[in-house]
Amino acid sequence: MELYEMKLINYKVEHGKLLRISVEFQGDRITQIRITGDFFVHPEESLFEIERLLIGKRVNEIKPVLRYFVRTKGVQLVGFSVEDLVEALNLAMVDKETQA
Amino acid sequence: MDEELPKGLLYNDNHSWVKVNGDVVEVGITKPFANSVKEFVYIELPEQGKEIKKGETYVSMESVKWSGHLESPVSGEIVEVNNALFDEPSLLNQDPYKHWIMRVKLLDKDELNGLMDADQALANLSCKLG
Amino acid sequence: MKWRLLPMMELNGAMQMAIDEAILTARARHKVPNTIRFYTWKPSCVTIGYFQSAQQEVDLEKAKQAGVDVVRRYTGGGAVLHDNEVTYSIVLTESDVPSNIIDSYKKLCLPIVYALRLLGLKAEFAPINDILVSGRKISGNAQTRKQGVVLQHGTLLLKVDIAKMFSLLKVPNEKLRDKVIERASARVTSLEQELGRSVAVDEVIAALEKGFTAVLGISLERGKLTRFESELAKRLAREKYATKEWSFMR
Repeated sequence: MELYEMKLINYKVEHGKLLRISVEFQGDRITQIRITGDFFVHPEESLFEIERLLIGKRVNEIKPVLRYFVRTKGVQLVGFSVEDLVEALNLAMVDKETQA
Repeated sequence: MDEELPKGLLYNDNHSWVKVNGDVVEVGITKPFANSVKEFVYIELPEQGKEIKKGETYVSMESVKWSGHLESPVSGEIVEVNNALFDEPSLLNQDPYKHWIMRVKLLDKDELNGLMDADQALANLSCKLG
Repeated sequence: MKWRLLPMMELNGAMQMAIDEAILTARARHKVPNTIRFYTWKPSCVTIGYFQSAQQEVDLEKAKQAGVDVVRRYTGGGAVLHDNEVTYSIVLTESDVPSNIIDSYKKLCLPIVYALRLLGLKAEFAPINDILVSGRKISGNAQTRKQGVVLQHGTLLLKVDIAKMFSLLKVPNEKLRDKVIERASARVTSLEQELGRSVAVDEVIAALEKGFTAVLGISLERGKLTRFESELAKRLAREKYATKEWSFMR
């Protein structure tokens, strides 16, 4: 049985803002996630919806899900992109593996 | 802020330009806009063969500073999309006037009358305060 | 329609944030016109963006010792020390601004740029939400949209003490604190620094007023907070902005 592992990652977006992600994995699935930082999301609730969307998903399958959400809900992200968020989570995953 | 817009193009109020080639026009984004949002990392191109209406979203984009979408300056059938942008979104930062996003067969040429020329668009955009 | 201009208020951070939200709510219910106000902070206060974690960003112990409040904003963005500055807030209907966030920031920041130029400075708007003088940041701005209404508020630094600011904020690596302060000093400026003299709040407010009327093409009528707004603001300050629950929500 794979352990739950909590990871904290600070990801600075070049020319953008700082993403701080606190994420718990079970294997390669996200079981908990909290995204904080000095960015903006419009409308604000979308960020919480994004966090909920990610629960239970594998990191390598979230990109299209996030893109679809942002596009269909007309969400505007200021200071980071879906690409950055996925990249940060990939880094958190890698970190996890090298520690194991 | 010293900004320029190419003379031969038409513009809407939403950072897009139109190049008229008879019935078919090319649509892309302006340099001032690309400069303000910085490097594009992802472009969701419109679908070839689909109908687009003026004012509808034609492209969703992600840059390091902003993710959002833009409104089409024209209505018609999308006859071609620039797939190269999918592989290399930063082409838009390099030369936004060369790398058009879509080619549209116009539904109604008169619609172009609602767009601005370079001088009008520049005045609209201007940072200069009187 | 004439816009309302409220009198300058010097209050604590929780109250200022509460008033901004109360005006937004009142506007959404069509009880008041579009409104502009200017204010200062007493005591000094660190506000953090809506999406930030107070614990991650602020040295809460140091802030407490220094008697500096810590309040979470209704708007996103970063951590700001409100010390020697004039803050503005503008509340208007969403239909009065572009739907594209980038464009709306520009529209609402240009009045500030105008005001700074009136004061003799070479100010410019730097997308997405900064205002620079000689390439250094003198104003940061944050916006939220709720119930069909836009609230944007922003700072205009009169004087800046970078060392004080960073003594209250957490830095990623304590050993790099000096480096961080050095780099920040190069990127930030204030009215006093640029004009080479101390600047009075009144002078700045007068320029800002001219900026908003000239650039937005509006006329301002002096007014005050309605009873609805005052009561709501008091409740919001007490039950939300001054509470640990809100400020440490994330």
